Amino acid sequence: MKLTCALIALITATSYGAAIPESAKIDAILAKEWQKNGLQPNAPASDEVFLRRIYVDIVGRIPTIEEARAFLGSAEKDKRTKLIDQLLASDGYAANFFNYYADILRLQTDTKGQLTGYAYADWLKAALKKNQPWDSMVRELLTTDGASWDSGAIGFYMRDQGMQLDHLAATVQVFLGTQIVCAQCHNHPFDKWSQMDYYHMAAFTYGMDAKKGYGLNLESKIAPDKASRKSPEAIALRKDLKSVQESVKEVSKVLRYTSITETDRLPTLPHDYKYADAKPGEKVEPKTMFGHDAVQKDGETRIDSFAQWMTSPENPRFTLVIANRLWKRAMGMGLIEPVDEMTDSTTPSNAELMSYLEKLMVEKKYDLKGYLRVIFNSDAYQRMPSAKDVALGDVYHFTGPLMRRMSAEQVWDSIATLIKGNIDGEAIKPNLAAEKKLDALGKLYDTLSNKDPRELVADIKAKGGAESPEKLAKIKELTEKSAELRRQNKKEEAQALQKEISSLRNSGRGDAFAAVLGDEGAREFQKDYRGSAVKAKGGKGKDGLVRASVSREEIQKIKEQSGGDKKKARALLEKAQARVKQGSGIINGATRAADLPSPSPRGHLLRIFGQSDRETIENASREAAVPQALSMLNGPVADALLNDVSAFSQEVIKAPTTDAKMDTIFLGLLSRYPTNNEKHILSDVMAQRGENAKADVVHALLNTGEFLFVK
Amino acid sequence: MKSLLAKSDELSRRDFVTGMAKTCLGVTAAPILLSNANAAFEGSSKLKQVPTARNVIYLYMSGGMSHLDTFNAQPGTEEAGPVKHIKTSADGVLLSEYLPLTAQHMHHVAIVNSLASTQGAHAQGNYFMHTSYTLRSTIKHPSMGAWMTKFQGRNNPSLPASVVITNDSKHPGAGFFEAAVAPLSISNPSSGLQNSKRLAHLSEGDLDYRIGLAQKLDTEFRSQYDYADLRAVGDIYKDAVKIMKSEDLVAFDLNQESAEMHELYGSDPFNQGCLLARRLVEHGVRFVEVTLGGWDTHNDNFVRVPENCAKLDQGLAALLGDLDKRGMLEDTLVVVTTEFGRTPRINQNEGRDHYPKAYSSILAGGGIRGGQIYGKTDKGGHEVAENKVMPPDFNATIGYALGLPLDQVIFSPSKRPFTVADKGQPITSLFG
Repeated sequence: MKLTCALIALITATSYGAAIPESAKIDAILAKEWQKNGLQPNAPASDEVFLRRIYVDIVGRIPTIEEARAFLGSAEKDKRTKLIDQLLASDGYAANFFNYYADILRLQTDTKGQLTGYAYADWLKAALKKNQPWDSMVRELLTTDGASWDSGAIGFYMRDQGMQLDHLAATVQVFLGTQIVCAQCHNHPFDKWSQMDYYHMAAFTYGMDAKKGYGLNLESKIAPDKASRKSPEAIALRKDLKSVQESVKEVSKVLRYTSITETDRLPTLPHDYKYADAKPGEKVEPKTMFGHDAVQKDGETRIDSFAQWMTSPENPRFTLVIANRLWKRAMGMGLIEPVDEMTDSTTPSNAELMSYLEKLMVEKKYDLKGYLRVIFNSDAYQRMPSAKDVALGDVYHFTGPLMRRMSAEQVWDSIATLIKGNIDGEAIKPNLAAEKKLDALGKLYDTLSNKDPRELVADIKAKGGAESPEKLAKIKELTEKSAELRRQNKKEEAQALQKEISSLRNSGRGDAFAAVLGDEGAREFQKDYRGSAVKAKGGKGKDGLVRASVSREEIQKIKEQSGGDKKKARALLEKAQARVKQGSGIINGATRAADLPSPSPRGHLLRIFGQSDRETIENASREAAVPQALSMLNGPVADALLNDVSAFSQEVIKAPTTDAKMDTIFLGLLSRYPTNNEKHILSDVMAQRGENAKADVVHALLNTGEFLFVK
Repeated sequence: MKSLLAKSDELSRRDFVTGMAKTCLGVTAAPILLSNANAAFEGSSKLKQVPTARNVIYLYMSGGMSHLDTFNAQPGTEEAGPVKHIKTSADGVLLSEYLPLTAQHMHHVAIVNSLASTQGAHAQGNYFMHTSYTLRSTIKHPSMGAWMTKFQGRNNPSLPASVVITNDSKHPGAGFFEAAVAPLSISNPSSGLQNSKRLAHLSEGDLDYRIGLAQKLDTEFRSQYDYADLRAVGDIYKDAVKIMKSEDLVAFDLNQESAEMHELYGSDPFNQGCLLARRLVEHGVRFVEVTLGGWDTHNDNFVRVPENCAKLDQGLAALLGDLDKRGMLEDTLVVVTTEFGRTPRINQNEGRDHYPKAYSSILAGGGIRGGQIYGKTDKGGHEVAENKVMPPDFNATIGYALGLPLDQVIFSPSKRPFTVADKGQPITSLFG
């Protein structure tokens, strides 16, 4: 049967790719290039190679055993194109590409403004899921203001709260592939940009104000302008507000880092500005760094015109950057390298192809999936990888894709697939806990901003706000007492007192919220806002629970082993159940990378394999490091896979013969059947190791280069 | 060191640029480039000495350690609050009563009471202290341990040159340098190096069999593809096996330490970290950082600072005494530092707030002359009155002790020029 599969694979491989005219165009351009350079293209990729690669490239994970069987066993002529379409339509696409764009955008969740971080992540996943065109995504990122409960896109500016000038440098690098950061402090030493160019550009985004505050200005409600601020009423309110400021702070603290305000503020030149064209401290007006001017049409704000300019097909670098980036995603190398450091003298390795790809991106109206679909259907993509990597500085003529190691997220999601099976269905769920909290914040904000400040002061006072003098005196008294106790080395008594102090202080918190929201509202807020953790753990599906029972095969084995001794059987069963319980823990832990905090904490397998810390642009690494080997050899992955609850083990258990089990193991880990040579090795292993053979082979394959790399 | 500078295995953006800088610009081209880079390094220190320290143990007080309640004794001031002061083993040097054990070692210690930072927020302050550069979103600067490794390489080839014992995932680590110089991170000192031990149910023979089998099954694949990063995978497996079988793996194992040692150092993760730091240095790791959190005392400063000081005091005193007894203090520089101090004025919550204008750190061993106080604040610890030290100066002092070239320019992958300690001036008078 295996032989037939291999035969079919050979036959179908002759009719690979190029079902789409645009794909054929790419191939034609490349063919000219090869001819010119006297090169032969690589051989067509076998079905096995194509299968594993297309899964990893589109949905960010290796195929399941079932998926591999289905594809390799199919004789349909257009099965490759069909698979490409099926994968592009699945949520796995959004999860895989989320990891990529999150690295480019330095998207962090568990940081200051954590909820805004999660809202931002959800926004990005949703945009990819609905295949929002790239230009429209970028415009939304650039222009969205308001609160994070209305749109997570504000996470784009919140990411660099308090660092607007740096943010502009990142924006230009990410979307226009141009590095101008040097020009922030002085004229660029290696490129043409002046410090003035930098400030002109920064002037567009500078007004997008990501104050760490909450956008409430209570005083301005009574005194909207300078003159009225001196009125007796305003003075009285100011005094009143000051008396309850601790309570107001307590309430508004939760609203920090949740909103962006669009203002018309302009940047001023730094105090050490040293060029003749302007003086330090001068305001700088917006002006584009290249291409056409950003014209502000009626009803448009400054940032609107900037976003239009940035994403226009006329912008000389916007289309180029995304077209080149996605080519690199598919083929392993850009036509322009590096992808985000272009200068006037940058030339692509194949100018005709680059300009065709730009045209294609515009024709596709920045439809990212549509664009990728063309590349994935090309012969160029569907070839064997080149046998050698490209030396630094050498030109590559794309006689096939380059082989690469899976990204950290792809390694992790592949392991999750082996444990849970097809995980695309559960991908990119919105973070419900975060949404609930954001709703609670939204309500709090509305209540606060609709409330008359005088009323607010009165309510807080009525509730005996956090800073009543009596309470503070009491806290102070207890603190001194506790310090004294500590000095006498009465640690436990001191700690008890410390608890009392904390609860006294926290009681004010409730009071302050009750003053703003009313008793009932405050209770509800506490429940919704503080109720559950936002850190997505996920993974608790019915599916996982169903599997978490002792297998029939094992029960049969227990029966045989106990030989009718019920007590012995029960003990064995309990042991098996405990192991299965541990197994359900394994299943619940196998949550897709995109649904985990961004980035994962230090020490997590994702970080060990080089997940970006999301501190700087594209900071992910595919470099090999010793902890990777240690974690695959000695970490929990091998045991998780070998546990009966894993989808992978269930398939292996189902396989009828030892040979079939080995085939299944190879199919699961490497998406192919063992070669003849490998079969010899395997039969040796079975002879030498008996019962242990399967575990040995699984653990060994996990530790091969072939598992980590994608051909 | 050469191999680290030359290493570039991958065609990612940053490596590509590193490689380009190397192949196209060449190391010798640096001075030429430098003249274009508008002389960013005019101010960097040319001072270099024969190293007085071979190792560094860097104790980082995360959250902002109150200077007044620890090393900047201000007896008889209102700002000191309820804190009393005690005499120490160094003439004329007073310490807070919260540090009684450390007081016995002050003849080894130089206090710097005149630190000042420009960064008043945690992340920014922490980053500035660790890297000498302010936090930017366009680049990540290397930490001191990474700079040291870049310049001087490893001491023990089977162990990393630097280790960070912390729960904080924001450590700048290797910054823009390659992963090979990144400090190894350990979050729980008691459990040692992650995944360095065999799975419990596998015998050594079992694991060796599996490693051998993996190689066998991978042979065909590896012979088909000649890629640097695939070869690197082969290398790390060799290194991993080396570490697992290395006698030096015990460096990470605190169970090897006697009950007395555990008692001496204490059981808090920080204290265990201090003990691990000593073990690692003994085995040839050169730069170990241990973090102690909990210093952000906006509330109840006079309850929480003594609690934290109890940990610091025990760990630090044990470390100084132990290193001294083993003859290791001579070439091991021990540093205690933090991102900023805390407000001299006590707030209404009996707390102290962030205060970058004046704060304190200490240095001991590794060529430092003990029993001295460098720099001064005014009465009450509000302003630096004498010998101001900025984070770059403080790091330059550490670099100076290690004999690092403070004026050697290294280009980031984005071709921006940087030096260790960003033009900081070492405090040479602390030595000798």
